Amino acid sequence: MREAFFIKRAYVNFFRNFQNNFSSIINVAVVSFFALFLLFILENAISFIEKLVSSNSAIIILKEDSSSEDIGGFREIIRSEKIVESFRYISPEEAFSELNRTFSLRTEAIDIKPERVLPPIFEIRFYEGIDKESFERFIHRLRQGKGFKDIRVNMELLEISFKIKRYSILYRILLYIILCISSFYILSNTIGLNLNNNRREEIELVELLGGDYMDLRVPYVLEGLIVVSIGFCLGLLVAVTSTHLFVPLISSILSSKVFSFTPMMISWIDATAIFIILLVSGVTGVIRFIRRFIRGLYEEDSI
Amino acid sequence: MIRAFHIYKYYKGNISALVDINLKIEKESFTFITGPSGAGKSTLLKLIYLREFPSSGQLLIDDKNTLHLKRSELEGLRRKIGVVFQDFKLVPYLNVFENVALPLYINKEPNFRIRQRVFSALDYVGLVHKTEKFPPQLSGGEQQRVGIARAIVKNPTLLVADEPTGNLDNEMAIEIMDMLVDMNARGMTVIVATHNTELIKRYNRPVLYLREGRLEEK
Repeated sequence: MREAFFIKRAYVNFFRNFQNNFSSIINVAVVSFFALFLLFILENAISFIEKLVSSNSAIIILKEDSSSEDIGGFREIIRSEKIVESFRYISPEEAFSELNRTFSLRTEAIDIKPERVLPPIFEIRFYEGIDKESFERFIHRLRQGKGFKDIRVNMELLEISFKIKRYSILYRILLYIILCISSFYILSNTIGLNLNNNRREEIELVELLGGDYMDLRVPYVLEGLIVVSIGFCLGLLVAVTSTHLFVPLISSILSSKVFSFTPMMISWIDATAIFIILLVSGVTGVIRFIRRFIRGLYEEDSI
Repeated sequence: MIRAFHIYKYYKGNISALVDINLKIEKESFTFITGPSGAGKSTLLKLIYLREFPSSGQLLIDDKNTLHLKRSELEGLRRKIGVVFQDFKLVPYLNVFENVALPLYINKEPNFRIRQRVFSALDYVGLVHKTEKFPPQLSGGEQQRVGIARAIVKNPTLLVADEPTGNLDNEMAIEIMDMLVDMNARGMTVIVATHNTELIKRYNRPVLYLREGRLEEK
């Protein structure tokens, strides 16, 4: 019955101050939409670079005089490495015949031993989620292997990928801080505007009847939850709709025979994280405002 | 029940509402507080029903100094005090039953007891047939009776009424006062602030007279 009373108070008060609450719902919706859309862009930028990294193969070059044991050792290192998606060993003979085929060399007249002119190599492809630490650890392991000569990889692209990932963490933290502040002030201002004379009397009455913190705050917290939930759902709806329009457009621009990229939709993990942040900071704003309001009831006139 | 020692109450702007108040109100007594407008009647009552606190001095309710109460003690003490207001202070969107049940919701009473007590209180004030009505649908007298039902529903040891008949006609005022006197007869300590001298004469109970924030002998 007490819970029903809380819910009734929140429900009635929500509609009694519908205009204020509605404007807050729109504010929360706008904040949610921008947060979701910015994360959508960020996630896809990272994914695009990762796809580029993954579609560029790296070549591990061994010394020409590497023995079959040395090659086997490298095969084990590469196979056990989590950042390697696939690999292929290319022996000097294979490389030589491929060169022959590709360039139609006329080598019949001369006696060339492929193992003397070409080194054994491994062609590898990295997983999309490769990070700097794992990459450096992998290179370190390769260097320790007997017969290692060099690794050819598009370092510029890898550096861009690592940089974007690093900045994306900072960007995400900044975005979450902005979300926290926005939600905190949107909700505390709304409740502040909603606390007109009638509701002030209601709070005073509940307090005079011996109401505890729960009695005083829960209806307002519930009201805040309604505002955040409706606002977030609206923002999510608009964000999902607009990204649905964007995704086919971006895919058609970025698709070709050698490379194709299909953007990801808004991630549910991001959406849930944004909702929780809005909820927690919004509720904190409401609680803080009510606490200050109740304290103010006794301090405003008396000495 | 209530003891006050050298109580002063100031408001911002150096306004002194109460000056050196000393009083003792016994358990199960019925006391009128009277005086002209602005004499400090409502301020004194606000101190008693713990809406405000003294600027200096000591006010003891049930031997507890109101200035040194912890939050939980304050809530507990407030739950023992029933308050009747001149403007009723009913919650407009709650019906009569819910308004009367409000202190019991706050006391976290079980549902069956809430129903039992609310109906008993409404029966006492003669409003059982109006449980589903909302305050704006009631007359002034009925609203005040709901206010009384809400004040007595939790069986308080102290009942404080601030100008309970101020907005009512004579006939209804007497009816409301009779209920308060009856509550006192049942063992409740009752304090009524009023400037209605007719009522004070009619009921012939101890009177505290306030003038310019000071208690005067009369």
